[in-house]
Amino acid sequence: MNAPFEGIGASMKRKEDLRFISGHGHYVDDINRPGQLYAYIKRSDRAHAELRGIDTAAAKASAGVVAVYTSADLTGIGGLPCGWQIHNKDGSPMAEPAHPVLASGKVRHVGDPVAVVIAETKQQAKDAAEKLVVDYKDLPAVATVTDAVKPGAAQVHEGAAGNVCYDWEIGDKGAVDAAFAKAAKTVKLDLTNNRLIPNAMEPRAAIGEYDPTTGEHTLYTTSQNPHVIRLLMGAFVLQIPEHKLRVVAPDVGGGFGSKIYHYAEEAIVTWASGKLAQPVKWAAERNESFMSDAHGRDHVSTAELALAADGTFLALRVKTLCNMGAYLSTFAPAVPTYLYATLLAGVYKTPAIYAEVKAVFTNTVPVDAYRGAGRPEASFLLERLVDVAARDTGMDRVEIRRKNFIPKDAFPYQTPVALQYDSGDYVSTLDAAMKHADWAGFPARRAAAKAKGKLRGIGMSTYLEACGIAPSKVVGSLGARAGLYEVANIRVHPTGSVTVFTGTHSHGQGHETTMAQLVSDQLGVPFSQVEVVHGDTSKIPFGMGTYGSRSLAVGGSAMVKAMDKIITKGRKIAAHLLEAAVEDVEFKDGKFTVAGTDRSKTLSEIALTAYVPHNYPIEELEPGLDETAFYDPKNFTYPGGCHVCEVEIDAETGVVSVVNFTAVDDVGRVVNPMIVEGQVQGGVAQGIGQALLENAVYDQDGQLLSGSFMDYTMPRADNLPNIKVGTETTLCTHNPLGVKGCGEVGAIGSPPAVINAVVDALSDYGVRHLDMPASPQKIWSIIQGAPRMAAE
Amino acid sequence: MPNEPEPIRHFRLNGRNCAVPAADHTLLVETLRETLGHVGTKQGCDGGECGACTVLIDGVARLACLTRTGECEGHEIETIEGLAAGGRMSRLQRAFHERLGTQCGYCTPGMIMAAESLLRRDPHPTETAIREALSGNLCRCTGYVKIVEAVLEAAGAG
Amino acid sequence: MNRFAYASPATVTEAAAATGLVAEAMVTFDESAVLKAGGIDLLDLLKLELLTPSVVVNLRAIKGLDAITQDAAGNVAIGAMATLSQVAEHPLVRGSYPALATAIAGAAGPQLRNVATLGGNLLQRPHCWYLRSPAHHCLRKGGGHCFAIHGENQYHAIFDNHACAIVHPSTAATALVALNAEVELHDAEGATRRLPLEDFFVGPDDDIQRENALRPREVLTAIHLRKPASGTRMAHLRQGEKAGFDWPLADVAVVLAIGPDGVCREASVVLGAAAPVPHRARAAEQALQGRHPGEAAAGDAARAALRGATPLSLNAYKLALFETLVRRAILAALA
Repeated sequence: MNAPFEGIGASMKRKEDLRFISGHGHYVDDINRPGQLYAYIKRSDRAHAELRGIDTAAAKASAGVVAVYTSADLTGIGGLPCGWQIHNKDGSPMAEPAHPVLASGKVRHVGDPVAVVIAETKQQAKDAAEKLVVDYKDLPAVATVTDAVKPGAAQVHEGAAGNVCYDWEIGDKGAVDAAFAKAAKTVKLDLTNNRLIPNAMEPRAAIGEYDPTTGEHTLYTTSQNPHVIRLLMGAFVLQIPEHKLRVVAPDVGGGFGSKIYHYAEEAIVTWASGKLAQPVKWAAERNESFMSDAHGRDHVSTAELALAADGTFLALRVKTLCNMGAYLSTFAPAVPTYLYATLLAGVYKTPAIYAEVKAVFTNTVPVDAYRGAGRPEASFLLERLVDVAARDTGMDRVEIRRKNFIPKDAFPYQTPVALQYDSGDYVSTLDAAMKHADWAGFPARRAAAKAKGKLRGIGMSTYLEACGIAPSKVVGSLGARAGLYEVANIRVHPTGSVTVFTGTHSHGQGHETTMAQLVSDQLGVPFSQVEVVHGDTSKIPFGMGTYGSRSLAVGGSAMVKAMDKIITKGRKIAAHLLEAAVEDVEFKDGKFTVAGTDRSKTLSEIALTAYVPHNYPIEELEPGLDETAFYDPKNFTYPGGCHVCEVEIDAETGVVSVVNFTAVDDVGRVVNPMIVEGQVQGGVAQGIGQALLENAVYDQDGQLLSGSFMDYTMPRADNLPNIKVGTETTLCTHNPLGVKGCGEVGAIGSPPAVINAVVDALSDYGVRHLDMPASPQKIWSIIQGAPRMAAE
Repeated sequence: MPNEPEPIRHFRLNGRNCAVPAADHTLLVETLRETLGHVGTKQGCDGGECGACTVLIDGVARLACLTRTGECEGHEIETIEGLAAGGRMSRLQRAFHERLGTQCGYCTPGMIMAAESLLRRDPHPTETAIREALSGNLCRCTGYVKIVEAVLEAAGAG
Repeated sequence: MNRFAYASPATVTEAAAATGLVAEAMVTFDESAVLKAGGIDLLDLLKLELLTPSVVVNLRAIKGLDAITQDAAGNVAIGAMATLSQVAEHPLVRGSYPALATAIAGAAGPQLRNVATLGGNLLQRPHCWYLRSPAHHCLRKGGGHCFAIHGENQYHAIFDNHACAIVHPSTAATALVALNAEVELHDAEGATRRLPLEDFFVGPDDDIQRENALRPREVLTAIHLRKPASGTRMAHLRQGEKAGFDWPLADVAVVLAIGPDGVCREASVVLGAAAPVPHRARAAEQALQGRHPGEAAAGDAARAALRGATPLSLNAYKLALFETLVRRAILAALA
């Protein structure tokens, strides 16, 4: 009887599902510790104001209140650190203003924490916070990047003149200028990448706990990377040594980047629980999520493309203003630079590229990586620009792409903006997507739609991204203040079952399943006998966490490395038991066999021997079968693909419906096709949300108007199409699994495909471009030629 | 008011009698999660916008974040914890597992309860009816595709 | 949210007596007591502290307030506590007032419709993001001006918007005004009064502090609908930013009484999300009356409906949207 196939390539049903579908998921807000107190954060309702004083007397006297803290109480506590330093064009470091845990001196955005009330119940804490009297003196505020760089704009930080955090460049300006000077055609486009609010369904939460007998702190937190939080908070904010600080990130209900960062509330509950020697819990209300979780995107750009007469791309010039918000979130400076500008080559062999990026402070929530992070901004700019270039030059949208693709025999391919792509085949994903989407049959569908009074359009994006973040040496040279390797510990137990400890973190991605498949496949152990553990610094040696679609490419590779060590040791033990030379022992399908014989030992037999070493080469080998590996990737990975979107627009109402969506992606080797499909569908849904619905609206005074799910419109079940997903594979050449990553491709490839389709549908109206979201009012204004379109 | 004992509310919870103290302003989601430790029911918004706290009251989908515990007096409440009879997952739960109807799991209890309410009312719904019945439940992970497939499968049409 | 006591009276009269100023979400912001129907908007307002009552008076325990009944003459009465699901699915409503059923079926999400009541829906407060923002002390909250008029007003009013640009949020109200519904109000002495729903809503020019004519110690108990004349056709259409659960950008209800000769005897054309109260488009009605309605009359009526509109900086798109919806609703009614 053949064992069921459960290794790499099988759509195994997820191990983690059983607790999620039965209501037994274990999220931070589901945890309650004995004697627990509750924290409520008083937040600024002003976008920008001097903080002249906080009268805490009435709050302190309020029922159930244990403590009230303001910045004055946080003596000896550091500010929230920024993990990435960017340098200006002139080589000087970026402006890096202090980011206090509780606002001190000034508040700089609506939602800036000003005080914390700790009480016996949540309601008591909240009631008491109402009694805090905060003395503000309002200051002029600035909410948008374009306003922030105007002369005389309100200054968010004294140390950042003109609100500039950094003014950075990449590429060869001279070569680009020269190419533009002799180009047959040039195309120019101004575009905005709309500001988004991540809105994982689980609001952030944190519980601090302190054991005075051991001096050990524990923080339960909604984090994508508990070790990073331990490092940042322990070393920079609270000065707690690693061995006295445990960080646990249990089941986490979605992250999409927003739970990477070290937030003030984590430090507050950890510090306060130590001070009070009682556990302290904080859980965000949704309105707090809107005004305190890091937002995403928010770019304003000008892009120019120089072309030869035949449509060959000669040079690309980009100028981008990006919003950092009021403070630098943990990885914010890296997003519009090394995750954005370095991606501007896309899938094209454009020989010269120059980009300038100016990051500015505003009186808004800090902006950091949100699903795709920098790469969706790059793909939107580039894929819109290519469509506009086709339109302006009268070329076919598909042909101009084919003409400029990096050919599949050109890898490794060095781009003019630092990255070296290892593999890809952009023609294969393009062809497959056009076939699955029936691109050829579109004119008939357009005609049919026209007959019922609808405008139908089709659009594509051929995108690329860089993930599997990232080689430590490279990122270090670019300003990262951390290494970006990953760690795995593989423990083969005496009876042969396996526990895998990974430094990555699963918050919906299904690591407990995919990684178990990987280990099952490589060690020949049944899937059911492999358990994956993540999210607890007391169990896992170290780790950098999950973001940038890195878990399998980097974390999975660390597992392979650890398994190699297990197998190497196992061969030695087997050689001893089988009285053979180590070189003659082969490992396959869970068995160590002497080559050319039927003499073999199973992995379980080897494991038992390793833990009960009676007949064992004890002189040369330690007992046990437990190995740890650190894996530092050699390069980024480069998933790419083609997304095709088809829309119908009701010309009389301006409403856009996505009627078909097809994504064909190259994510490298696929371990679990069902999970990959789910990841891509979810990413595409977020991309469609960005393209059609989502927009963080601030008024000119810095008040967030879209601060609830009724005002910030996310896709619901009744307004998304079925999203068709396919894969075409080229293997990553530099990691042992050949995997590239699939978490972000959906959100990166889809927004330009949607907008390209919308613009195509509106082709009769002379529309060249529109920015996201393509709301009914915007479409209507375009159809009507009303002035509103220019304003947006 | 502060020192008065909270009145005891009586209702059926997942088939068992339940007597629990709850103030007039206490919401069912608070009673379930904080007083009774039934943390399977989630809260994802500040009231009425996300559907994560969907439970069944007398078989009908309701939001525990908008229902005061006092209103439940004498009623039958079902939560995600009660769906697996004798430890065996319901057909809907099994279908969510088969079809990857869950990713991070946070919206899942509410999503399953909303779908359960639909299937009791309409055992063989169309895809449109499923999408409409789930339109009060936000999911940020799945794009809803596999959730809809799971409900179709549970309805015998998948 | 402040702490409040909770009362569950058994009769409407007791309920009325228990409250100083009333309603699910009403009027001024310092009520000592408010009435609770479904409690959805009320809970929102309590959380935002737009209401800080000492007593919340629950109407659920009052028997019969959710009944949907028909009298001998064929007129229908809908108890104010009937849930939106009950109303939308009720055979009397679906049979005689399909535009109302459609308007309600598109409101909110399924779980909310299982709880929200028709009375509460009519009395909910506007969803202006400035009104609901604690940081904006707007005119309606006793402040100096309307932030929307020169602010982010893409979702705001295109008629009667010079003082305060809220729009009425209830799609049910749009349909009910078009159906010439009446509301029944019950006071603490046991007296009742009826008035047309259209007159029940109060615009900012009449009283910036109120959105309806409920008096202190008065409870909305029922909505009355006359039996439609034979030959009555109706439709309701809404347009949101997306298909489902959000506030409409625009909604339109049309009720036409067509004589045996095919001539339109009476027409009701009402726009929702267009003005601070459901907006009756009289010029559109006149454009239909006395004509054989069809494409031409529908187009004329649609253009007439928008005459006199005063769009703000960001909401001129609504003019065209309404024009389309009016025309389509007329044609849908005739179909």
